[in-house]
Amino acid sequence: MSMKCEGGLISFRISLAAYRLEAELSIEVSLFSDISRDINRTFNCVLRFRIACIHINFNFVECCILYMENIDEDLEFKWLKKKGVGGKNKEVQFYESFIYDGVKYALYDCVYMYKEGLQEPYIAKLTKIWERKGNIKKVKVHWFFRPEEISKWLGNTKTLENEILFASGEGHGLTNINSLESIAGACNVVCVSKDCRNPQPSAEELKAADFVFYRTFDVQSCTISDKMDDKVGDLEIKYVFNQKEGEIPESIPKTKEDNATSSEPQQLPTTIVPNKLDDDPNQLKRNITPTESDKLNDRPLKKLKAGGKNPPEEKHAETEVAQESEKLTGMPSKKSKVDNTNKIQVDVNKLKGVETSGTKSETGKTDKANKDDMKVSIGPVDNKVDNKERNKTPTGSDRLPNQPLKKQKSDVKNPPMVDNKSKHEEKLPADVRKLKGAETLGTNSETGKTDKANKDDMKVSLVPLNNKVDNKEGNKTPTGSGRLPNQPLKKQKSDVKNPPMVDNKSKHEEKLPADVNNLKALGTSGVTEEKLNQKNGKVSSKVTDDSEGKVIKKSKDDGSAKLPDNKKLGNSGSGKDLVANSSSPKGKSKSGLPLNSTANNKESKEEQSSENKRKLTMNKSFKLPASLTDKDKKSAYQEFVCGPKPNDDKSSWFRQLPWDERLKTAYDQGTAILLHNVDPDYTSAEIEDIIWHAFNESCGAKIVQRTAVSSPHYAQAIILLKTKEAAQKILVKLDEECLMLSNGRPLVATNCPPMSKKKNSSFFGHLKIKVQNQRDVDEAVSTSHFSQPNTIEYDMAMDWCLLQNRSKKWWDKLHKLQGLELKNLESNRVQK
Amino acid sequence: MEPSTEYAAFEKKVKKTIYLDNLSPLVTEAVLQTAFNQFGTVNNVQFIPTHFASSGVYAALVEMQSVRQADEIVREMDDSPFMISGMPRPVRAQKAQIEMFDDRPKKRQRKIVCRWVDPSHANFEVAKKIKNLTKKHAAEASFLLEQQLAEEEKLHNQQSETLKANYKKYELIDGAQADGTAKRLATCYETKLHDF
Repeated sequence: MSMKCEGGLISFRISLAAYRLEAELSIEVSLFSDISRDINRTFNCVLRFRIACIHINFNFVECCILYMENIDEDLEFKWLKKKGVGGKNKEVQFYESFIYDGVKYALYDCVYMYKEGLQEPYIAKLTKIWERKGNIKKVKVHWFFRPEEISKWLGNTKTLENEILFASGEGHGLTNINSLESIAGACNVVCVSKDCRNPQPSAEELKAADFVFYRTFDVQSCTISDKMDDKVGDLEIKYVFNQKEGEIPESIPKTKEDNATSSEPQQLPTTIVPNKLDDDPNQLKRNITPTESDKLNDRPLKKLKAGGKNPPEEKHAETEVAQESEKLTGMPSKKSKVDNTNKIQVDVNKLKGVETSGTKSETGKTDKANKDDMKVSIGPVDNKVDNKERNKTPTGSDRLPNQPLKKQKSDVKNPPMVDNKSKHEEKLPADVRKLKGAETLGTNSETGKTDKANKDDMKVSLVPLNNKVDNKEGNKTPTGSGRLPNQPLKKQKSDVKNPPMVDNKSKHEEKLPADVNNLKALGTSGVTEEKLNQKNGKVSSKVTDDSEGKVIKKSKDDGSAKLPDNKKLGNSGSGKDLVANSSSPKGKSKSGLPLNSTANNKESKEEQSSENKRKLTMNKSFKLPASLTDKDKKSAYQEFVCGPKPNDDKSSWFRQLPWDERLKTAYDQGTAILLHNVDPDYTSAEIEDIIWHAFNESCGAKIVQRTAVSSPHYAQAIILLKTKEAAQKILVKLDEECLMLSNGRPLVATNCPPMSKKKNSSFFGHLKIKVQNQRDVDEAVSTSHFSQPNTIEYDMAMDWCLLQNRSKKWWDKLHKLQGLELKNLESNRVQK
Repeated sequence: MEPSTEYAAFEKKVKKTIYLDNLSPLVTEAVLQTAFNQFGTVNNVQFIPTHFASSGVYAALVEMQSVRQADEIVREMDDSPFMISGMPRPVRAQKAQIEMFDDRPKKRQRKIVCRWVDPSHANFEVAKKIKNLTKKHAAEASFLLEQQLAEEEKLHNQQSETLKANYKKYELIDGAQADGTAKRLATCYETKLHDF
């Protein structure tokens, strides 16, 4: 074991053989514990450390260890405040806070989550903390996204320097359950949302913030919104916003929390979570099963309840759902009921908040009322679906059993669906509103929904577009799976999806207020409805076929059919959602998607613009307080200061691979760029800053070190981007446009020239000189020496000296000429 | 460390450092350590990486314990050719420059201000020209480097030819002495043969 100490890090090289790793060098969890054990053994004491980074080479493991100091083990981890007990046998203990690695963490704190091999840690919010039997400590986290993680969907959306986006919606990437040990540190995230519910941060708080956020990124539709409803994902809004000092988080919705706790245990018993979680290396994969399991837990319950209360059709659905849910989650039905009631209450609250008039009455209603609401929402949805078919899918989820039938029927039988609506209206005022809004606006209401609404929209869009949905299902699957219309499709995609349907319902309720607003904003869309219906009819027929067939082929057919639908939808306002959805799927989307997405995107942009306008204005206002960054909204050609990249130091948590290897990889991937005409004064870090500010791309940069033959006029730098797209973008942009560095140098970028194949390259000038005495030669080669004037060697060396001097002259002359040329050009500029 | 003091320390380090090129790629850190420990104490050796095949320059930075040692080495190596790990091509030394260092700290807390140039602005054209000129210069430099390599190769071949020819002569002479030809010739010409 060799050890190297640099800064606060101690890096170790450990022979790999010690860990009995096979030829395949996967990083295994056990490896970490093995390494820690060995390190402790080596130092003959108990050390507190954390392996921050591990790099496995063929022959050795290199790991960096943070914070090495003696400790007694107790200090490393300590539970603080208990919260409740859950689980089948009360074997799960929930906590509100704990101390880990000397840092206190509490529920809803933001943390860095680290993952091996990742340069920058993930950022997440703790939403649940618990301990299972056997000292297994888990946290449920709600993710934030760094802009670079979702740059694909950000498009031209500007982000603040240190802005991150909060995951919303449902689906992969929203939450995960991870082991508590994967927390890498506390992260100060401040919500700068102008929302009146958000306690505004003080200037100092802003200054101290590592990151700020005010927007959400819907993991399902991959859309960005600055509006937050009462819940983001399954997290209450007040936990999303800044916490007021002294505010007791539990104060309001104890019921909720209790419920939540009750539901949590459910999650735990369901073996899914632990299993998936157990593969530690994968834990951090956001998309991994754990999230699904979480969803399942919540969702199945709702479905079950809804189903129970609903008519026979619903029962069918329920049974199905129940079965599925059991399969998936294995959760007891009772629990599910409980959860439903809880959720319903929440919904009621939401409704109250949202709907001023009718909601109160609804809120007054008991769980049944809630259930009714649920139903109502479903009902309207169905109606909508019939009309628009889009709606159906989401709502349909509750009625899953019905949906396939209904869809077929509904397509034909739209009127009956209307009847459903009327019923709904009777039951729920809120729903009525929704319905009214939805009905009047038709598709618009659906389309108008915000990101959260997007889910609904997703559903809606899905319904008309069932085929499309299928295509998109990759994204939507979580939500869509629950939905009946989709079901056939969903089934194709995944059984797991069923649970989400429940969520959809709940979301609908939540979303309603937003929808109402949207509707207002959207205004007219009766025509669109008709169109939709027509389309729906078409689609529905297809859908039914598809559902029956349940074949993937359907999706293709649908895809073709979908395009028009999408466009129409887009017009109506739902297009956004659709677009977002289509584009959102992270590579999962099937063939039909690209077309849809493109068409939709354009339209959606236009359409969104109206809605977004206010968002944008909001955004601007938000941005201002956060940090007046130069790049933000100043005109494109204004100067910007390339200060240090925000949070740059954070990356020091994770030691990077050696530069050579990074360069090689980057070179192979085409992400390496050579910058010319760099100010020789700049350091590598400054280059990184400049690239970050100019292109909003983070990169690794290294100045090409000057040699005797380098030009004194300018330096070169190599930058390694994260993606080839980014590299291409920079190449093109620097070529077509002109980025002027501070002292009037336009930055130039070219592809990297061919890499040197080290060591192989020939070197001239070293000869075997078998001079007079053989012994001398041997010595001469092995040592360094001045040559004596009376040898052949000396004569030949003189030739070399001559050549060296000549070459020096060449270079000097070249550089002088180049300098003159530069001066000439620059003087031109000054004159002008 | 304060940026200013850090930079001062760095400048000091630069003064103590010599830059070497014309190095063989086979030269390692250990070789350099040994080579320059003859003159003083080597604090640190750092190779300047050659990422690109075209750069073809093998260079290293050797930090000595004192500025005096570094100056001394540069002067001596200027006077007479110094061989490291091979001959007859001598290693060339000069004082290191700040820009040769990879890990240099920021000079001071300065602001870097950049801007995208408006294409309609007059300077845009000039900037474009400068960009092209930069590329041209880079091409020129790589061409010159190629030429230099060619010259080196030429000299290398030439020297190796000369050496071969010389060796041939030596062998001839040795052979003549070894097989008695020299002696026979001496008797033939009635001269006395001296051993040497």
